[in-house]
Amino acid sequence: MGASSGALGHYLMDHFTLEDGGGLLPALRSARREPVGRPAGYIVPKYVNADARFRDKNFLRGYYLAGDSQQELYGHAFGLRGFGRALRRQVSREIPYRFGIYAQGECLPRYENYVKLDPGKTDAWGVPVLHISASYGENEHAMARAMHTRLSEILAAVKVEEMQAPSEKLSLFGKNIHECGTARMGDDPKKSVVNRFNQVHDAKTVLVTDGACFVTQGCYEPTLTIMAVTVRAAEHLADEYRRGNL
Amino acid sequence: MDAEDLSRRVWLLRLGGGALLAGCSGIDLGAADGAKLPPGLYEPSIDHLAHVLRPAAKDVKPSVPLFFDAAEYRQLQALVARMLGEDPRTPPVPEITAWIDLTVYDAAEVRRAARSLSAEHRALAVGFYGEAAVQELETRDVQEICRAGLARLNGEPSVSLESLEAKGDVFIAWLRHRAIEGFYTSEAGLKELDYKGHSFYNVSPGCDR
Repeated sequence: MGASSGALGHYLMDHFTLEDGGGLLPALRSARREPVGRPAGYIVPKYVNADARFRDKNFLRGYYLAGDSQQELYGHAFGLRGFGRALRRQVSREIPYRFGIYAQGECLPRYENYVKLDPGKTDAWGVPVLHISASYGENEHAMARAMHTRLSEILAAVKVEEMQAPSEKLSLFGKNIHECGTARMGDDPKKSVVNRFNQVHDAKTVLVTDGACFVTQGCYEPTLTIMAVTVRAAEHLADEYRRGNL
Repeated sequence: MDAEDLSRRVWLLRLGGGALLAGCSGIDLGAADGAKLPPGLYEPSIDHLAHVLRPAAKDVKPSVPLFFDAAEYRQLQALVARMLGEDPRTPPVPEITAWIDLTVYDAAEVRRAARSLSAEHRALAVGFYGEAAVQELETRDVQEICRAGLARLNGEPSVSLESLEAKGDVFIAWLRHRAIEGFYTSEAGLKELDYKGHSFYNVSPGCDR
């Protein structure tokens, strides 16, 4: 069902990230615990290729930057020498502030990235398991190079100590658990799996309302968009039912 | 305690305590022990709640060593106490020692599981954690490191921890890491850090819309 276009299962996407960038903020080293142990998260929204001033012709689409900073709880204890009460006093009195940063980039939809039912393997309940074939392409690798440069520039500008360089390696496909695509939305039943109201072209009473319907995924987390298309699909379904069209 | 001081743990305790008092939780405090999951894994939610509530139970029994024999266990407990500057019999040293014993007990099974990964799962693990971390899980014999380390220390009882650390003693480095981890995740350690847990504003300051 839904396979008539040949698109079912294809155009799988998942965001990729460059992680692990960070270091200590020397100006904030403290001997006092902050009154509330609140982590501070931040996000720098996508601006590359979203604004003519920040055009990068080496890749399509873009990425955002994000991270957090907080007083280290006790992780620095592992790097300190010594034992006993003296060590514990040092852990409590020399509290470093850690700054972390990463970037998350958009994955382009490519036909070559797909899922299908494995012809041979089944799970514990006898259901065929998914066979997943996916990798990042030239565009993602080009974007990752730009992301790495920008992350390194920021860390240098912040002047962190004990800097941990951001990874140059793209995160594993699927690691970010933002899988989208495989039942793409479109008006043309020959090129897409569901229509604009998430109804499968081949069976209008079957709706696919998760991230599978995404044609592109942007660089942000997909949940709110999934909720929005689901609400729209449900409202349309209710309207159609009231009109007697189902 | 005002609303801002209410940590997630305190909320959980109150929620769980209320549910138990009401007699409607269905929570079996022994369930965590009986869970048939691989070593180191817990069922989410219920097991964690049971674990959090467990210290409140009055009939907590002293730990029975799982891996070390009685003499080794006493030696281990004394070492942990020295590393932390605490009395071996006073909390949190006994509970940290029990946790280390459990970790070492589980180590062989964890290593066996790591070695039996399929090629695809191993590649996935390397993708997540890196080759060095996966190799360490596959090859590092923590049980042997501990047994040999304790036996070696038996032969030189007056040796200082500092000199062993300076020499890069593998057992001392491993145990120091576990003792620090155990202490700063114990009630006493968190209190010493003045850690109040994650908490959040109900309304963001300066943002009235």
